[in-house]
This record gives sequence, C-alpha cells and structure tokens, in this order.
Amino acid sequence: LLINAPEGNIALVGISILLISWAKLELRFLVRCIPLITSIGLFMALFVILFPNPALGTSEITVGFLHLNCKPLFLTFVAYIRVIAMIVASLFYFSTNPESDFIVSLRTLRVPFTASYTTALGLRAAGLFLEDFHIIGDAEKSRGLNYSGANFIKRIYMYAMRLVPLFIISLRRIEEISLALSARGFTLERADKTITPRSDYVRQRHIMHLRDWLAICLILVICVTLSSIFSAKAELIAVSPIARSFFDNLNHN
Amino acid sequence: MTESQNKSVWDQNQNRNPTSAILHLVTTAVLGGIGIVAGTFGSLAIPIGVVSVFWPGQAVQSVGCVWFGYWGAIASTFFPLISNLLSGVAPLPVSLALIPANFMQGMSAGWAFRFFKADPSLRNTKDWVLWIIGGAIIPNIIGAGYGTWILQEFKVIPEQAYTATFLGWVIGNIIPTVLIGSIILKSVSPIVVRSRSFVRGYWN
Repeated sequence: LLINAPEGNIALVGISILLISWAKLELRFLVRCIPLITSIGLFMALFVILFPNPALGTSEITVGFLHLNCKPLFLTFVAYIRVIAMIVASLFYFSTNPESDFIVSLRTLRVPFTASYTTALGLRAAGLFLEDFHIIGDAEKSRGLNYSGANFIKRIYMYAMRLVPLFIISLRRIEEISLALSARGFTLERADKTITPRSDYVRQRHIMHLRDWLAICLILVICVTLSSIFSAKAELIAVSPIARSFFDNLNHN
Repeated sequence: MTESQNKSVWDQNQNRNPTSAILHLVTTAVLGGIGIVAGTFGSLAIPIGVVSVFWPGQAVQSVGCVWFGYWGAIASTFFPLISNLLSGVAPLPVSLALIPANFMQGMSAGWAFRFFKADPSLRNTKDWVLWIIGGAIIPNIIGAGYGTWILQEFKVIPEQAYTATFLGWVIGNIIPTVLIGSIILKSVSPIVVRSRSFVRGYWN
C-alpha cells in the first residue's frame, strides 16, 4: 500500500513467490489464482479504456480500431501491480500460516479472549461449513438432482435451497458450542477479582523471547525503509526509473 | 387469532429461554463461517476484478443482521475480510477500507425489521416491501456508493467509471439478496425465532 513505484511492487511479488517456494508449497495454487488476477487486470484496463480521463492528456496510440490513451493506461498498470503485490503477499501469509498459528499470535499479543476466540471459531466454522456444504451437495446428487442443465435462475434457487440446511445445522452447532463453553465456565462478564484468573495454556506454551521482538522490530524497520524509498506520496517519476523512461519516451514521441 | 400470534416476534417481554453473551459470540463466529463459505466458495460467486457480479455473501449479511442484530453485523463486517483474503479478490487494505460498507449492507435490514416490527418469516406484503427496500435496495445503494468511492481512492477504477462500477455493485448484490435471502428468511426464520440465539433487540 505504501509502495507506489512498480519496481518495488514487482520486487515484492518476486519475494513473495520466492518465499512461497522456500516454504516448499506447490506453486500450483498460484496458477489457480491466474484467472482472478487476469480478470482484475482486464477489469481495470477496460474501465480506463471505456471511461478515459481527458485531464490526463491525449497521448494516444492506435491498436486496430482502438484509440488508447497511454498515460492513464500506464497509471492503471502501476495501480494494478500494487494490487497484485498485496494479493500475492496475502496469499503467501494465509498459505503458510495455519489458523492455529494465527490464533496463537493473537493470544501471545494479549488480544482479548472475546476477539481471539471469535476469530478462531469463525475460521474453524468456515472449514466445517465448507465440508457440510459439500455433503449437502453430494446428498442432492445422490437423490438425482442435476445442476448441469439448469438455467441461472434455477441454479440460484437450488443454491439457496442448499443454504437452508446449512443454516439449520449452524443453529444446532451454535447451541452445542455455547453450552460446551458455558459448562466449562467460560464467560464474557467481568471476572471476579477475588478469583484467581484462569491459566492461559496458549500463553504459557508460547512465550515471546527477545529474538522474537528483535525480528518484529527488524521487519518494521525494513517496511519503513522500503516505504520511504518507494513512498506512495512521492512523485512517481522521482522514485521509479520505469515511470521516468516511460514518460520520457512519451514526451519524445 | 390467539394472543401469542398477535405478538410481534420482536417483543422483548415474550417468554423465552435464557441467553448469554457467550451464545451470541458463538453465533457471530458461526455466521462468519457461513458467510465465508457462501461468499468465497459459493459456486455462484462471480468476481470480476474486485467487484462481484453476483455475491451470495450479501444475502448472509442481511439475513444475519435481521436475526442476530449487532452480533450479525459484527460477523457481516468481518467475514468479507477473510473471504476476500482467502479468494484473493481484494487485498487487505482495500477490504479494511470497505468495513463501513459491509456494516451498512448488513445492518440496514436489521434496523428496518426492528424499527417497523416486520416479521422475518415474511408473512405479509409489509414484510416483503421492508425486506426488498430496507434489506436489499437501500443498504446496497449506500454500500455500493461508499465501496465504489473506496475503489476509486485506491485507484482500482478511474473516476469516470464510478457510475458503471456503482451500478454493477448494486445490481450484483441486490439480486442475490432478494432471491437467496428471501428463500432463507422464509424457510429458516420460523426456526430461528424459536431458538435461543435469536436477538429481539439489538444486542440480546
């Protein structure tokens, strides 16, 4: 978000991909994201072609029957690379960190039980419901329901009908989980000061050492340094050789 | 008609089983889970760039806020963060900036149903009108207006594309809200209003 220069964002994409392969993850899951990443690019390019901004000049090139304005297209490319860098970094984070690690980090950083537990349960519930969703789908198929020939409206109707049992299951699950928590003495009300606080297993097991704090500080320093070099507030031409050469070529032509 | 049938489902003085904050917290988390599944993995979600042409998650947002009040609103606000990250549709900073839009998209239906005492089981014309206007059209106009502005601020779309993106967002959310949300409300509400997790006020 802080890096505006395309070089910085391309480097970030490269670093993320290197880290993904270093983490011994198959790069195949990135291939699955290609249609989405392409559609974002097409979406942004299409909008800038269909809705040109006259304030950005008229340095047009003609490709077939299309008259394209170079400057807005280049600025869109810069914004696109920034979005892609953020998406790949997010994919790296979520593909290398299981939800349990995410929860441990919240508990270690002393995020209140309410927030950390809700997040944990939400992530876990998503997995459970995804499984339920497939089971309901399989049950429908085993009873002869065929989506393939259905039109879009029919598919929407069938989809909604598939969500109905999912909601019914969720109601039962809410009741079961909340009763289980209540039975174990979990409460959101302010704890009685006279009672010894419940020991936190996660915090006892995962203790922040000096090296952990140093690593966090180092990451922060790197982020601040990179963002000051490729700052989004600075003029694009000042921080990006690619932008400089692009605009130089544009002026010469 | 019996006395119990005359009472609104929103009447706080009705006989009901005791609830607890932990129950509502679990409700929030579980609704978030359903939202992630419906929003991300739903076979009908059609993302085009960062805007979905058809996003079933919106139906979960509205329905969740009608049933669970602000607890549903918390889930509606935060599940798109996770579902966007998992699917790679929008990066985290954009998703964070869209939090107010997601809150409004969900909670408008909750406010409308509680304020006008509409029945979530959609029993009469008034309930349907409130659902379609207060639960689908108005929240999506507000949400899309704000959301499109955010996309413009992040330079994902140019200023000139505001109207087209806005219309795409509104239509892409209204259709699933009305079609999917109506079926869910009609089929599941009679069970939800009898359950302990149903929120008659805004918080309990």
